[in-house]
Amino acid sequence: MKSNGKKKADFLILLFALALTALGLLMIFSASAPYAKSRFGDIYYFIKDQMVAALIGITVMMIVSLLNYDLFRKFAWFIFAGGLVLLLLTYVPGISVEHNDARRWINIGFEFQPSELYKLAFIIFMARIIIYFKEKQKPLIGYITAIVITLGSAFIIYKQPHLSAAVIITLIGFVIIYAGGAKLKYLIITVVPVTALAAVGAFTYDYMKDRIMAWIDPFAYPSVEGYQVIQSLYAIASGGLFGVGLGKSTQKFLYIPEPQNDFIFSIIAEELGYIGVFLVITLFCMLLWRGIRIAIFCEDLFGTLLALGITSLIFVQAALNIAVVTGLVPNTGIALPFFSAGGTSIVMFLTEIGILLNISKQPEKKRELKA
Amino acid sequence: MDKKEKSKKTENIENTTNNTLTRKRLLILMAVFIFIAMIIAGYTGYIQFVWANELKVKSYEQQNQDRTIKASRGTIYDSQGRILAISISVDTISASPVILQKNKNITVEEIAQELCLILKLNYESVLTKLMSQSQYQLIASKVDKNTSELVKEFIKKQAVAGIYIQQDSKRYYPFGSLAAHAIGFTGDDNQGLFGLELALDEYLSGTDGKILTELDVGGTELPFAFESRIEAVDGYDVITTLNADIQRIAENIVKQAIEDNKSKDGAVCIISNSKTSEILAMVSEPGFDLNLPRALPKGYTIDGWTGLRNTDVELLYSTVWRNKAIMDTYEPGSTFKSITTAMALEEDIVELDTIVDDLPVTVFGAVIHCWSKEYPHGTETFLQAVYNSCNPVFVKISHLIGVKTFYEYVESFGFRDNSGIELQGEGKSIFHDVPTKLDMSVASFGQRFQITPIQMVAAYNAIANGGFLIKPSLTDAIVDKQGNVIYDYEPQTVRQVISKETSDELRGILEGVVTEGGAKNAYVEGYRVAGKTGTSETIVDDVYVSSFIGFAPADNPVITVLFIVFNPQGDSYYGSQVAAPYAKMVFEQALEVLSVERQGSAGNSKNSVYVPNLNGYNVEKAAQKIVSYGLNYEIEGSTAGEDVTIMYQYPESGTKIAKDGVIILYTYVPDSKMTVRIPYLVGKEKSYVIKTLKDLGLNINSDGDGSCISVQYPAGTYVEKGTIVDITFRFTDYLD
Repeated sequence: MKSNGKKKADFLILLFALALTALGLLMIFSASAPYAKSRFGDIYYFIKDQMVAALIGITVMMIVSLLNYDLFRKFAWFIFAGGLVLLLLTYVPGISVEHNDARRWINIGFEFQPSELYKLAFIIFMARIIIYFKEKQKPLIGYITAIVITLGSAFIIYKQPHLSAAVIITLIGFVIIYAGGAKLKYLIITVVPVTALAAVGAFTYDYMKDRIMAWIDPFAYPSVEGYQVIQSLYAIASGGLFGVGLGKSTQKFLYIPEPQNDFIFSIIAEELGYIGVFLVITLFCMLLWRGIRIAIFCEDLFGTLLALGITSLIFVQAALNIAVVTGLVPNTGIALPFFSAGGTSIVMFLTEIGILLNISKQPEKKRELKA
Repeated sequence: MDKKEKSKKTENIENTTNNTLTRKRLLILMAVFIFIAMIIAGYTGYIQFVWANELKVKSYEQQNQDRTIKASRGTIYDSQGRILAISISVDTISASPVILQKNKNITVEEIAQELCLILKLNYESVLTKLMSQSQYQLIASKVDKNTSELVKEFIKKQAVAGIYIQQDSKRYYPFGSLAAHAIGFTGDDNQGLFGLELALDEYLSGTDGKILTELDVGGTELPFAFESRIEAVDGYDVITTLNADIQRIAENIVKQAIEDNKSKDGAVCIISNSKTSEILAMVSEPGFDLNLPRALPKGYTIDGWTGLRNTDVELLYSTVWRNKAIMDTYEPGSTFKSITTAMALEEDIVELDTIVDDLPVTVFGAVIHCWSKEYPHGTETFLQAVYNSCNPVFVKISHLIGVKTFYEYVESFGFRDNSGIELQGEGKSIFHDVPTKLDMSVASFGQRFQITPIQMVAAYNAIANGGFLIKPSLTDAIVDKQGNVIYDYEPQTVRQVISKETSDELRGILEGVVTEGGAKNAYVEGYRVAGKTGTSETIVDDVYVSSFIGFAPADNPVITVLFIVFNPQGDSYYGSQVAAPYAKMVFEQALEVLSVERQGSAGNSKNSVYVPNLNGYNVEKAAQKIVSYGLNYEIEGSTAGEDVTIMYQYPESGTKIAKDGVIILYTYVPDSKMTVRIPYLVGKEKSYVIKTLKDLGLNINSDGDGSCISVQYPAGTYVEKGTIVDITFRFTDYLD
């Protein structure tokens, strides 16, 4: 590659990502301290692990930003195969680890959630598949393959069970397929029955129905299904414009279970008020803007789709999380990127930012080829 | 590369590059995402600014329910600074069944089993709780730290989610059942339910604090502390007048008295400071353990006993919780004669040497005999009548006092009102609404009316302390946690009932009752005890109430002791047999604890004693007495024979010598022709006395005429023939 064709890496996306990481660490500390103290007798119990994970993530991000993303295209099949194997290991007794009724984790010397890794592998593979069939000029077969991979992946994850990750995989899959240039006719034919099927499924299973009923009126189910959302609403409501002040949440003390996890946004809303809420949402929008911009300015469709996939993954997950926390969508366990405690999550998101950084600085291939 | 190939490649490149369609769709996607972000931001704003008012009210309700800062309850001390009641830290164990059921490495059944094992609970009920579809279930409250530590270990070891341990406090009574009725106990929320815990609840409980979340307070020191809070105000400590040592002494003696006399209905003992009416000990048997107040009383078997059901609580209130010392009323019997005597002396109706007789008296057709019906005491001085506890004498005196004045005194001595002690539930005394002369006649010797034990103690304190009725009290002071005195309980004088002179006189009389009269069994060597026994019937046949009440030392009373045994079923039911001997033990041991010197000596009572008088005793009796004083003796002279009498002793009586000291006794064999025994002469007619003594070969130096009221030598003393005996006679100027 010629050095003169290289662009500078997107500095702003790095800035926004680091801002989110820093704010995330601060809020995890604030939210987790009482729970960590009461459960483990150490207020630093969660923040210590999270800081280590963030440092690892930043290191990986810097290394990845130096790797030409074209490597992901070349090794897309291996990466996907690897991701799939890890994902399927969650079904293998002995390796699989269960928490709270779900086999989402595996233990191979250390414990992590393969679905986090799989999301990236999936995005890489989807981008690869789409350009593969574009090259072959077989749009229908390509479309069907992409849909099968998307729904297949979603099904495997759904069975863990990990509904929220399955939903995210499905959404990201369709976003990539859409941006990849799929015919609208095909999309409509697919999306309508899939949505209908999901709706029927939601009302067939009792526990799904309960969740939906609690979503419609959480206060009718205050002790179980509606509990988390009610407590979350209380926290958000008490925040007001300026919040009760950093560290002064009362909801985190007793009412919101494991406040450093999925419901951390409600603690942000309580402690930092609408100012904090707006800041967090704005940062995610900025990240979205820079991510889409990288995708648009990337001349290579693989890079474009990869950048889009990663950007939408972060954004969709954040939007879904906040929607759950505010009661906009039915309650399902979903982490807020950069904020919710969890080592795999923060490392993976920073790695993905690294990929975006690399894409942002790659020379324009097309021009090079033309020349 | 030919043109076709080249164009295909270009097409391929076109296909795999970022074309216009993709860019367009990327922008559409971004627009959609931004739109979603706006919805979310808008909705969050709606929650925080519009819905917030309603939500805040709900969350305030929720948080205020749970987020009270519990005030720490005050400690109760005895007068010596020993802790009688204290709040200790315990834990409440609760579970979130919904979370608990999600544990995969352990089943709910296993958790229930383990919890039951540690907490000693019923497996079925715990399992039911844990299997329920709820967010919160209370498993056990007031769990002590050691036990909750085991639960913590279990949670950690098995990584169990959904079991929570919260701090709470519990009342602990280090002395268990000691002074249970006076101290009392608290309920689950540490609210006073009984005894001083209830009576002084407002001081002990303190004020709970609150956490106010909606207030914004700046300037945090600790990032995790609740800043917006109203701190709890801890309860005050209470220093009681109780003395744990004396209380224990009294309880042991009460238990012994109940056992010895086979009492069916328990017993009461109140020990009070004679001068201040402060209660040093208050015993009501049967009692209960303050740490387990709801345990099933002994001797009962009741299905499904919890101690919480209405019927259970009723049983507890009527048995072990009942504080007989203040709640029950009883007929005081002869112990009330002191009160009648006080009236008579105060009203100048009699003097001690007034001659009276105990011939039966008829009031409205009712004949009242002396208790010693078969052998009436006949004519005697009033003092002797008191010693002899002759009912007709008191009846006659009461007639001279008059119904109006008599009942004015009854009221004045506090028998009509609650004593005013802090404890709740004082019994109401029972008198005739409009007492007749007959009612009064019977009341004069303590029958057919009922008073509470605590009223009697207050009345006797008035006799003992110079005539002042003082409100009985269990509280010495209320202090805050820094030791500042919040309330200092000074003895509260209700009124002066009798003059100091009457009080002084009565103290002497009642001491005489113990040394000479019917309460001899309460006599304590070295301590001058004054008091009176009483035996009264109840409405139930063969059910008696036997009591003794008195104070010591008689010349300067320190403590007043009331000892009542209800329904004794042993060999005797007389107060002199059933109550007096135990009251004696109480006096002896309690005065020892209070370091009251025997016989007012200034020396160390433990190591030295005053030599008793032994002259005139026979050797056997003298030896017994010496041994009881912890002394040794040597006999100079004859030792054999019943009539061997002590002529002279060394050291002389009243000398203070070390314990284990030796007394040398000089004996002689009284020549029956040379020496004679003085017979009992008090109360006898002058002519009879003169004849008797002349027959014995003695001479008389008489003073006055009438009946004998005092003899120079006590009855039973050996004197030489021809001795001149001083005898005082007075006319019986009191005749009904």
